[in-house]
Amino acid sequence: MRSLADWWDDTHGKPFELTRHFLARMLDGEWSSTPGQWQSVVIGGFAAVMPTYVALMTNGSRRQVGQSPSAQVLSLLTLMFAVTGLVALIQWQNLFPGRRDYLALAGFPVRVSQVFLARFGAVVVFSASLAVAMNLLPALIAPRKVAQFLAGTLGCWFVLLSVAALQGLMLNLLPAKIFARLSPIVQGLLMGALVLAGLLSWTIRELPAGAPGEWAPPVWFAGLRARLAGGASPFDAAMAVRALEAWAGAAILTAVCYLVSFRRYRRLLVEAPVQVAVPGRWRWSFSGLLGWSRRPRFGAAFQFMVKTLARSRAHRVIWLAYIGGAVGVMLNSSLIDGHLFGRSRDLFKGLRFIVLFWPLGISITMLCGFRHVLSIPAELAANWIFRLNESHGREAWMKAVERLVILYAIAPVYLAVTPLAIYLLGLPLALRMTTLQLLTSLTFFEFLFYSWQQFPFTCAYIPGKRPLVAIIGMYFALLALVVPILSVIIRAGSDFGGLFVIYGPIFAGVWFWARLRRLEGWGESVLVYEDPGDSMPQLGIRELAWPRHAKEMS
Amino acid sequence: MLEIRSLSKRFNGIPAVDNVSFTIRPGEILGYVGPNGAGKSTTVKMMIGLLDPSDGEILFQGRSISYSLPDFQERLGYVPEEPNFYPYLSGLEYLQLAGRLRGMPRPQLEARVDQFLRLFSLWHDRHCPLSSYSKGMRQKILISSALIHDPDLLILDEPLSGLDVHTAMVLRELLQGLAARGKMIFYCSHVLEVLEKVCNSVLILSKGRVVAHDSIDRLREMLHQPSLEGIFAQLTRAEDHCATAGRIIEAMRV
Repeated sequence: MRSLADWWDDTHGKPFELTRHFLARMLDGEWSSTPGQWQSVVIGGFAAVMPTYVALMTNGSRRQVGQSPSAQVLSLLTLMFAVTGLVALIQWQNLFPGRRDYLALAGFPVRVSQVFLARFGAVVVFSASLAVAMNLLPALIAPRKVAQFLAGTLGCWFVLLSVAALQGLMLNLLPAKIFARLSPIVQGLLMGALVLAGLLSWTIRELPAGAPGEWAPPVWFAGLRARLAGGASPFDAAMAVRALEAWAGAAILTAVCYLVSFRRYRRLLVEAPVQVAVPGRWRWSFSGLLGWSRRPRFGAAFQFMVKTLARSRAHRVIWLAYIGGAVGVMLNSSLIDGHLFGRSRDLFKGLRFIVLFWPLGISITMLCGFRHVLSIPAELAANWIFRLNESHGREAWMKAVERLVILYAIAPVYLAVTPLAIYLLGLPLALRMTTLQLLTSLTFFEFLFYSWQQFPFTCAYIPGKRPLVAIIGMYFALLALVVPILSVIIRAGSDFGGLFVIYGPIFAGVWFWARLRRLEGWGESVLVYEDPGDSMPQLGIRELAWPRHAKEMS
Repeated sequence: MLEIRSLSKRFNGIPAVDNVSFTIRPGEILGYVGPNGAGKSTTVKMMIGLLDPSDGEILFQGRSISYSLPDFQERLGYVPEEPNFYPYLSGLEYLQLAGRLRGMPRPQLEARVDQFLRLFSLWHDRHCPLSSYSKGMRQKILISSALIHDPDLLILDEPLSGLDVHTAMVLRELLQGLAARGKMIFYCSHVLEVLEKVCNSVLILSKGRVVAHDSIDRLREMLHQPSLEGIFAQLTRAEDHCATAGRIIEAMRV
């Protein structure tokens, strides 16, 4: 008898082969330079999420945060839906066939409809597997195991199918140009909303009965769980029906979108001319003004980075996700504070909280995000342009990185918040506070970019080098400990003029020292085009390491 | 036999290919040549079924390919100008995918993949991702993928791009050998010297229209030109090359 492995290796016809191909490569994509690197990212993700599930499912944690049992279920479902939604959004590019699929499969004897059906099959299998994997462990811990598993799995599947249906609807209803522009924005906004939902899941105290809570998908599937476990209230029963209707609706809508969109999508991808915005007669653009310099190399490097950020889909999406995440984290902090939205409503105090805590929190998240975005390559093969000029104008290039990060990650935050701070606190106090906050953000920039040695968007990148738990831990430590402590110090330092005289020079001194430390040897440093690591395709310049970096490594 | 009848393609009303007709018989190698933007790649894309023609039709063995495109593609081997493939697949995985999509049974596919990888000197790199391959290595993979199922019709768009001298010579010999076995070959290229050596006949395209279609010897005779290069320059009304080169040098000094 033939083994299963033998059967698997055989050829089984086009639909099977295409589905196998799409499914096996579902998690590989433009976000990673190395095939199969997604495995370490997925393991890291599970390692980060599973302890959270366990914490949410134990009674001790429930009592500690004052949750009812139903609210605990709702918290868990909300968190799982948020994680599932984030995975679906990361997979956004893989949900429908892309231009690469059409061109790579051109000449092979496959119909466009077969490509679509295979992609649909891969998405269904992938989403079902993910939904089961997400719910297996919580179901083992939960008191009503079968009910928890079924409701959670169906809910996660609903989230994945909804994201696919949303893309399908946009694809069919929007003109090609608008779809291309709107798609990453929707992706980024949804990512931000889901990060916020994940954070809010911890603050749910009671199951909300009645509008508007009854329109939240986790409430529907919490109702379904109650119904499956027996002893459901009329509200739970109504929500259970809504959950099933929603799941069926999402599944049907997704299937219809795949069935009707393949002809239009092909035209949109293969025949639509690819164009970028053509500068008008008046060539001074906003980015031109920001990147103005007498040094042509600086201007060229700055414009290259701005245009890549504006035109590269992957970079825009990651950047939008960080912005969404930063806003989500800050909104969550305002919810915990309670003055703006919560129990002790006081608009003035709520806004004061915003001007005190948000600029530092958002600018630090944006700086981390920028460092991540700049390290992801746009087109690796194109870095020869920079290698050819390696020995010239290195300092100008690095200065361009510095200006770009400060202008795009730090400046907008303070430009937006400072007028509000002046209105709320008066000019002298607002200026003192903003000065200290700005110096702190700039110091963070100096520390984050201290070892930066590469030209943005040109270096090979390996995701998942650091465990996701460590990254989340670092963000938690930064945003939940360092930022609040610094913000309180800044508040004290700006409230009292005497303290500002002491704090001001200290903050400025630390920033100046960090800046000198970063700039030391910058002009002579060799740019790096490869992420260190053995799994990287070799590009042959690893031996050219910056002396200081090499010393640190030894 | 492959027959192209009055093929046209318009993008937003602008003709990219205009009323192009030709036939390729078994054992024939047709050279397809034209300046940049003449419509060569658009013709190729219509021939492989990636673009729908605005007018005209493509007949293979007397039947329009639009009736059963997959059946036509089963008998087609295609080497694209740009290596559009999945960069995260290895060379071996790509050839396996190509063979499986053409329904080749595993024993036959494995044997051929092994042979092609060894013959094209790719055996040691077979597990490396295509993203790490050089241009020449990628081209060898594309050529292997086009030949692995023993097609009746070969459509080659700049097949020598990136290949070393030795492999290019092998490919030239290979094409003549395949033609001798009755294969139909459509050869699209800018390298006129190679076309001159390999092709039985040549079709010259300019601004989407056919300006010449005959054997190279007859074209030489008719136009009193010693080489295909001269024929091409005369028919496509190219600018004075020396003058253009001079203007470029001047532009470098502006």
